[in-house]
Amino acid sequence: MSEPQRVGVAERAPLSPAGRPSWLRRNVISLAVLAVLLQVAIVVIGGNEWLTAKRNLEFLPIHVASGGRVEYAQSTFGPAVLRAPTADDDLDVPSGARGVVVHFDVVPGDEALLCSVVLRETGGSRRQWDPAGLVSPCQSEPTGPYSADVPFLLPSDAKGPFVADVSVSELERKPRFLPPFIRFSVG
Amino acid sequence: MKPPRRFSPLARWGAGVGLVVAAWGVIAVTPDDHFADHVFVEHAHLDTAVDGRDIRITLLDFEKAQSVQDAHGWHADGTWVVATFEAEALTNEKESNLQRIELHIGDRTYTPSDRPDERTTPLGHLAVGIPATMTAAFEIDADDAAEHATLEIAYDKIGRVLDSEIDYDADLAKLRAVPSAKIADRKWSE
Repeated sequence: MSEPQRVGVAERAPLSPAGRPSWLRRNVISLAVLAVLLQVAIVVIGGNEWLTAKRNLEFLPIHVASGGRVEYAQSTFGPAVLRAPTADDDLDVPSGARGVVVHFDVVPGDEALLCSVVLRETGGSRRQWDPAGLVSPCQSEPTGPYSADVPFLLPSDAKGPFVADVSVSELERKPRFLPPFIRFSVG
Repeated sequence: MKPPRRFSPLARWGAGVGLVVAAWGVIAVTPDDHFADHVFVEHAHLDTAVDGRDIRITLLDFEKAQSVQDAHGWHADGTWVVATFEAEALTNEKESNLQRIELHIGDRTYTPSDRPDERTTPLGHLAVGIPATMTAAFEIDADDAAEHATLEIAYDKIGRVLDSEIDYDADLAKLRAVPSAKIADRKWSE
């Protein structure tokens, strides 16, 4: 039996490692494309995130320091304070709790407003309270500047500091893209 | 050159059966489709506060009665299960509206009777940090009076998913039975 011919095999010798083009040279096109695509991806994804973050800024409230006031929805709100309830507030305080009243001034604009108030602890577990009883703090047909009093019942372990978040009903907000609510520091 | 290694028929069959068993095991331990939105159940014990998401329940009393009466002159005979508990919200009052108080016995679901005066109702708003005491009175079928019962308390009556649920299990046959139970008005805890 004769040996099979090996001529073809011998002629493919350039496949040996030494004669092969380097990995870098073989992949130069892919690497160039990758370099471009990476930058495009960073710009597109980063830009998208930046636009989202910018849009979300509309959901951050206006912060008003203690004693300050702010123009909002063509009206002026503030200053806001936290005071102890009086007999006029007609607040039925259970044992283990205390009553407080958020008092703030409003100078209304041309349009009547509907608003709501929540009281929030800024520390700890950031608990949040709704007003005690059904109250509509803002006057629907004001004849001039007025003050709003909103009673709250707090557990006696709620020490503050507190903020009062005053929000104006969406329909009444003009222009549309106002921050969603005013956050008064009330101590 | 070595010939490829051959496995014995026994090894091949063993591997096949092993894979089938493994597949069965994977199916057996796979949670059901609704696993991801099950409620988070917390088990309650008498006189012990139990916390869920934004809710704290302390079950004070759980008893059977042949008659119940409220503080406004209404009373009714029957087979009653009366649960008295303290409830408060923990962080947020926006959605702290107690709407789901149910007594499950077998396939039956009882809700608190609305026959007593509405001032007694245990359903409604919970305050953050200020507990209120309330009573849920369930008027049950006399045939259910010796069964196993589960009291379930949660905010959401409709969604029933992804939220805390406070459960209390009781054997009604062994439950303390009183001739007459008072249903107090819902009020702030002392």
